[in-house]
Amino acid sequence: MERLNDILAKTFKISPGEAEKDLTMPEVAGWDSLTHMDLIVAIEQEFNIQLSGDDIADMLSFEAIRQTVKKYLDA
Amino acid sequence: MKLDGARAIVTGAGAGFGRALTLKLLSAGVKVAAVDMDETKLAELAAEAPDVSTFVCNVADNDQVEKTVADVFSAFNGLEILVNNAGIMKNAPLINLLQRPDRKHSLELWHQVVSVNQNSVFYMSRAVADKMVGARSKGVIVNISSISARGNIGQTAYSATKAAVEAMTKVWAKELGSFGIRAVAVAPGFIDTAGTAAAIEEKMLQRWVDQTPLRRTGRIDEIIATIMFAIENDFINGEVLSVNGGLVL
Ligand SMILES: NC(=O)c1ccc[n+]([C@@H]2O[C@H](COP(=O)([O-])OP(=O)(O)OC[C@H]3O[C@@H](n4cnc5c(N)ncnc54)[C@H](O)[C@@H]3O)[C@@H](O)[C@H]2O)c1
Repeated sequence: MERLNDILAKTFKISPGEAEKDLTMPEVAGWDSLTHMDLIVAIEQEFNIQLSGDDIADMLSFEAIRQTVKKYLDA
Repeated sequence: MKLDGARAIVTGAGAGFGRALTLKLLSAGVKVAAVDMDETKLAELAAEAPDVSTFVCNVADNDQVEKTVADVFSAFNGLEILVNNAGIMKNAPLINLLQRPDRKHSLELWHQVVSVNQNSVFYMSRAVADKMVGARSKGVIVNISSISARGNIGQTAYSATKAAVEAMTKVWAKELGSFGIRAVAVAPGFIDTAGTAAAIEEKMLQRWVDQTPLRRTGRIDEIIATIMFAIENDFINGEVLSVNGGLVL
């Protein structure tokens, strides 16, 4: 999940330490519907997966993002 | 243009730039028709400035615009200045991955923004220009655009309407110039108004401020000074005057 934390830190311009926490969308200043698009593209490219529309819309916290990516990698 | 004794229409005069501009024009001796759809705001304006003439009108409705322009011309017996200022700022990305079930930009929002920001400028300007040309009177149309005309992320509809406003300004500068009617656009960046506070999230606004060389939002008086310059300088025509602290260079 280190690679995922790197993506979170880069996309939302936060420190690596912040990226390890379980922050929610309202808690992250740089996270809105536009940066959410960048996040999804970065995750899909890094892990070579294609997320479903519902999963994308549910990824509203770092923990939800980690769980979702894990689900795809385990599948 | 000599301001003392001139006659003006200001749309969206109930708040923000429109209100401040109305007060400024009145203080310079201009007769002002303050147009807004919000009757309460117009009443508040009239309480502060008894010399103002107020007209309740939804500028996105052509029938209301035609009636208002006719009423203003009969009340003022002519007009030299039109400031198309009324506008709404609404934000939405073209595709919102967080929105269910339909991720696409709302059609309703698109039509609303186009009606208020773009159609209104067309309706008002054609009605006023027709009367100015008919009376062979010189004048100026000032359209309020926005830095967004260059394409702000998350503002498809708003950006499109402001780019349209700038295009119409240039067309009218060419078409009406021979009648002595000028057209000028003023394109503010991020300015401290209630409209900005309502439309832009604070964290988004902070990001814009961080990217602005002057590291601050603009003030209403800085926009009003630019609109006054556009009105008064009789050789400026077809230009878009950008006032954005250097955010776009
Ligand atoms: N505030 C900014 O930072 C900023 C930046 C760039 C451009 N602008 C543009 O400047 C103009 C004024 O902005 P503001 O911030 O002063 O707005 P505001 O929201 O403070 O005031 C707008 C006024 O227009 C009126 N209005 C809205 N729709 C109307 C309609 N259909 N018919 C009649 N009246 C209507 C409202 O009742 C209100 O009184 C707008 O065109 C806006 O797009 C503003």
